Formats: sequence, C-alpha cells, structure tokens
Amino acid sequence: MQKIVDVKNIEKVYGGADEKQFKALSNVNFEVQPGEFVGIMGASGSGKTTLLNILSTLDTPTNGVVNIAGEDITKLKNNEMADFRANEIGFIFQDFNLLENLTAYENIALPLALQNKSVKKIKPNVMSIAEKLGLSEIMNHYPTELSGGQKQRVAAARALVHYPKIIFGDEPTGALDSKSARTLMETMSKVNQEDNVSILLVTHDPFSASFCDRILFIKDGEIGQELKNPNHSRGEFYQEILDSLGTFAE
Amino acid sequence: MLNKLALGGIKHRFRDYSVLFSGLMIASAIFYMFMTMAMNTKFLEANSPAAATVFIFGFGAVLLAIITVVYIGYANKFLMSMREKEYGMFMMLGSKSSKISKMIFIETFAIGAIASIIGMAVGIVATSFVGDALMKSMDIPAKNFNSFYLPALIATMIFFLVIFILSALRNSISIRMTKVLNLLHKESQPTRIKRNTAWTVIQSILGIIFLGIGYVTMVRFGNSPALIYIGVPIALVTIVLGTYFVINSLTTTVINFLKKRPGVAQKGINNFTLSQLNFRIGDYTKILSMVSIMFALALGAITVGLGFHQQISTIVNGQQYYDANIVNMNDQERDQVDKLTGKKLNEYTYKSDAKNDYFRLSDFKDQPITYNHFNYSSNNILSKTKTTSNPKNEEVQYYLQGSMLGKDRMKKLQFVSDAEYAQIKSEPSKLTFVKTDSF
Ligand SMILES: Nc1ncnc2c1ncn2[C@@H]1O[C@H](COP(=O)(O)OP(=O)(O)OP(=O)(O)O)[C@@H](O)[C@H]1O
Ligand SMILES: [Mg+2]
Repeated sequence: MQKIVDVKNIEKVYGGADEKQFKALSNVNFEVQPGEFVGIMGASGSGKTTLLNILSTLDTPTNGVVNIAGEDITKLKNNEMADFRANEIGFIFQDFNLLENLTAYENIALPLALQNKSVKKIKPNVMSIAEKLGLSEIMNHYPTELSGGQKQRVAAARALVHYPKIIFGDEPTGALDSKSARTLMETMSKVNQEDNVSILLVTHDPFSASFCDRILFIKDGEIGQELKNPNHSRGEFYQEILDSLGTFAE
Repeated sequence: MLNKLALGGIKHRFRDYSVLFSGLMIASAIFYMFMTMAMNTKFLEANSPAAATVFIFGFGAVLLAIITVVYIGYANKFLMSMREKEYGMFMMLGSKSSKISKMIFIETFAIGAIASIIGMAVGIVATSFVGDALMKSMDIPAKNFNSFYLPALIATMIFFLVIFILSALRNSISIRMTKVLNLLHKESQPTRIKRNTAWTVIQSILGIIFLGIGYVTMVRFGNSPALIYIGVPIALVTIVLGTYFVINSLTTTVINFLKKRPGVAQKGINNFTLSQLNFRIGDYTKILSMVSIMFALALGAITVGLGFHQQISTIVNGQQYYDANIVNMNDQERDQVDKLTGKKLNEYTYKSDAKNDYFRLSDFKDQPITYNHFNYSSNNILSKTKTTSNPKNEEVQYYLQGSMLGKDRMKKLQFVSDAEYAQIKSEPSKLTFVKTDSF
C-alpha cells in the first residue's frame, strides 16, 4: 500500500544568509502507513513543531524529500498546493484557530465553503461529523460560548469534514484539562479506527501519547528512539512511554 | 459565504474598525468640501480675478490628495494587520490565493464605499455651512455656489475608488508574498524594536528639528499672502515628518530608559507594563501617526481656505483703494458711472511729452488721493489706506502710473504748478478714479 508520509533526509536550517544559522532538524527519515496513529514526542525546542510544519505544507525543508499521500509537496505550485491542502490534509493546533465571528457549524463548514461546495453538499457532511464528535447540540454557538474542550473538538471536526487522508495536530491537548484531553483523544482514536484517517500528533503529554500506535522520539532535531504499541493496551503503553521519556531525557 | 467571511470580520472588530472608518470618512468629507470650491471654476472666476486663486486651489488639491493617499495607505496597512491571521487560516484550509484576493477586494471596497459615501454626505452638509460662512465673511453673493456640486462628487468618488483599488491590490500582493506560516503567527509577532541607538538618536534630533522648522514657518509665513505658498507645504511636510520621528524615537527611548532604572522597572507590575508597551509600540506609533496625518489634512484644508480668504481681501481691498480707474472717460462710461450710487470721483488731468507726464499739483490739493500704504517690514503685508494731497511719494506715483494708458506708463511723472502746466503744449488727458461703497 502507498505510504501516507514518506520523508527522506529532511534538514531544516533557520536563519537567512546574513543571520545566525540554526539547524533545527537534521537527517530525519520516517514513514507513516495509511490508518496509522503516530505520535511525536521530545523536549521543548527539539524540533517537533518545525517537523510538523514541514510535513503539513506550512513550511519548507532546507533539504530532503517530503512525500505526503504520494505527492512530493516541495514541488507543488500555488494552486496545486491549495487543492492539496483542501483535499488531502487537516490541521489541529494548540490554540484553537476558530473564527470568532462564525458559529461552530460555520467554522466546521469553512473548508468546504472555501471550496465553493454547495450548501446541500456541505450540510450532511458537517452534521455527520458533528454527531460523531458529540457536537450536535452546540452547532449554533459562537466560539466564545464554548468550553476549551468543545472548541478543540470543533477544530477537530473542521479538520475532518473533508475526509482528509491525514490529520496533523500540534499539541491539540496542550491547553486542555485532563478530562477534555481524554475526550478529544478518544474521539481522535475513534475517527482513526472507523474512518481509517491517519493521524500525526505532536505532544508533550504521555497520557495523550498513549493513544498512539507508535511514538517517535526526537532530540536536538534528530529522531532517536521509536516505541511501538502492538497489543493496544493503553495502560501498559502509558507506562512504557514514561519509562522511555525517563531514559531518553538522559 | 465568501461575502460573509469577508465582511464578518468587519462586524466583529467593529470597535477597531470604527477609528479607521471615521478617519476615512473625515478624509472624504474634507476632500469633497475642498473639491466643491476648487473645481467650481464659475464660482472662482466670478469672485476672484486673480490667477493666484487658481494656484491656491490647484496646489491645495494636490496637497490634499497626497495627504489623503498617505493616510489611506496607513489605514489600509492597519486594517490588513488585523486580518492577516484570518487570511492565513483560509490559506491553510486550502483556499486559493485568487479567492483570498477576492475577499480582500470585497472587504476593502465595502469599507471604502461606505466610508466615502457617508463622508461625502457629511461633506455636502458641511459645505453648505462653511460656504455660507465664507460668503458672509467675504461679502460675496452666493450665486454660483451650491453645496451639492456633481463634478466634485464624481471627482471625489473616482479619487477614492482608485485609491481603494490600489490598496486592495497592494494587500493581495502582500498576502501572496507572505508565507502561510508567517501569516498564521502574525498577531503574536512583536514589531521588533531595533535597538539601533544611532538611528534612534538621529530620528529624535531630526524630529525636533523638523517640528521646529514646521512651527516657525507656520508662525512666520502663515500671515503673509506672499510667503504662504512656500510656508504651507514646508510646514505640512516638516510637521508630519517631525511628529512621526519624535513619537517613534522618543517613546522607545523613554521606555528603554525606564526599564533600565531598577527603581521604576522592579516596582509592582511596572516592568510588565513597560514590556507590553514596547511590544505594542508599533501599533501605537501607527495610530499616533494616523492621527497626526489627519491633523495635517485638516490643517492643510484650513490653511488653503484661509489663504483663499486672505487672497480675496487682498485683491478686493488691498492692492487698490479705488474700484475703477478710467482714462479719458467716454459718454458710455460716463453713463455707467452716473448710475452708480454712493460713489466718489477723483479726476486728474495730465499732459504728456516724449519723456514725462505732467500733473497739476493743484488737482491733488483740491482732491486728495487715497492710496494703500504697504508696510513690508511687518509680517502682515496687508496695507493701510492713507490719504494725501502731496502726490510726490513713491507709492502714489506708482499707483498713478499703473492707472494710465500703456504708452504713458513708463514715463517719468512730474508735478507742476498751474502756470507751468499751461506752458506745456500737448493734448490733456483725464484720469478718473471711482470709489463706490458697494463694490
Ligand atoms: N522561525 C524560527 N527562526 C529561528 N529559529 C527557530 C524558528 N522556529 C523555531 N526555531 C528554533 O528551532 C528549534 C526547534 O523549535 P520547535 O518550535 O520546532 O521546537 P518544539 O519541539 O516544537 O518545542 P516546543 O515543545 O516548546 O513546542 C528551537 O531551538 C527554536 O528556537
Ligand atoms: Mg512546538
């Protein structure tokens, strides 16, 4: 089967020609299979966000090849890039990035509306994803009338509404309390299993990470260790992650 | 949906927009008011014979246009900075840049259209008041002047339309040139204060110098009709630049200075407040600059208006005391003069030879001549009228020469006794001055 993410020898250097140069990523290689739920963990400043921005087309690598869903994203032109973002990928960030002047419904519908999809096509999509994420009751609320957890689930619904092949999340549980974090992670996990959407998640939090199938540990811009969870027992995996973090941090 | 996305942002940030909006409105109101006068050539010609008036208005229009463009440029940049993050998010969600451009156009036009339409309405109302006041103070019959003047309305519309098209273009180009990631993080990027002290020092010195020049020119040139043409542009440019430099450099310097003083910075939340100020200083500078540009705009319009007022009184009262002068009045002219009410006539006969014009001293004894005495040493060139029976002073001679026929004008004036006058063999001419109390 075609790999969803296939990166080879990514390198990222910050700083222009006349600025101080900083190598944030070097020699990064890995793959993500369709339907896989992958976490990326590492200390602050290790390069997680940098990596995720590159994979999600928001930034470009200094060197290396990035294939997402069979497409070499470093070679996409303006409009191809827009179509690629609109069809193949979804985003969830730590701060919710919802539009304050749109209702939950409109926020979720935004990616489709920006594609000029007709209202008739948009509505069933939005309603079914909202129901799956338990948002049906709050569709007419504005973001200021929602809790943090609800907002983040609206953001997740927006990322899913166009049935992307992969969702990128940068610490989506970072600003949530543990109960909301658990609800969000359970939802992500459900979507991952039922709809076969791949998920690539950056997180600090071992509990959120324990929902993943596989975890990549990144240190000083390089991928060091990899942890797999073949038997899907979250409790054990959580413990393993804690142990790895302990040794990896050394 | 596209419209809602483009315009929803406006509704939501109404308070931020309202400042910008009223600025734009005032700009278009002033522009319209000015144009009604500047473009109404009938009105101008009917009321002011001097070419200087056309100059004042031409110059004023250009100046006003420049200031308006600068102001809208600023306002536009400010407006854009509030929306960049949203546009970045649309791009992230897969919106094509052509669609973003469309949204920018809708938004810019909506704001521009509403602001300038309201502004023009305000302008029409204001013009009727200002117009009335102007007419009254100058004693000009209000014919040919109407506060609703279509050409001015069209000119204002076209002017603002063009500016808003250019602004929208600039916005969409700058969005296309910026990386999505940078757009998304726009709001949290502080305007970096370059701690380039040399430049800050230069800025503050320049700023103070500019302000000084600006206000000195205002004071020294402001009252003189001759120098106001140079004074106004100098003052406008220097005051705007000076204000910007001073605000820009001084605030940064003061904040940094305060932060370095442990007594101040470490007291309570002072340090936090100062850092916050520093972080937002870019926005504040922008707002303050806009306010000062707005002032310049109003100031410019007022100055031109005042200049016009002064020009008219100079022309009407200043240069010549008499309302008409006629050489060798014919019957037709005499009929007309006879019809005038409340008039006063002065008649002087003279004879000319090849080099000289000869006047009778006794004529001036009988009918003292009134002339304008200019005092060039004071700032106020406006003249005082003086009456004299001794025509030998320079100003009177100059005045008489100016009133005579072209062929006699360059000759030397001689003032002679009746006996000497009788000796001169030449056809006498008669110079008649008419003063009415209802010019
Ligand atoms: N735009 C930038 N310019 C220069 N350096 C940068 C830039 N963005 C990030 N860096 C540097 O690159 C390194 C990696 O940053 P990155 O944001 O990827 O870390 P992270 O792993 O996401 O950290 P955190 O867990 O705190 O979010 C850091 O040392 C950071 O200072
Ligand atoms: Mg990060």
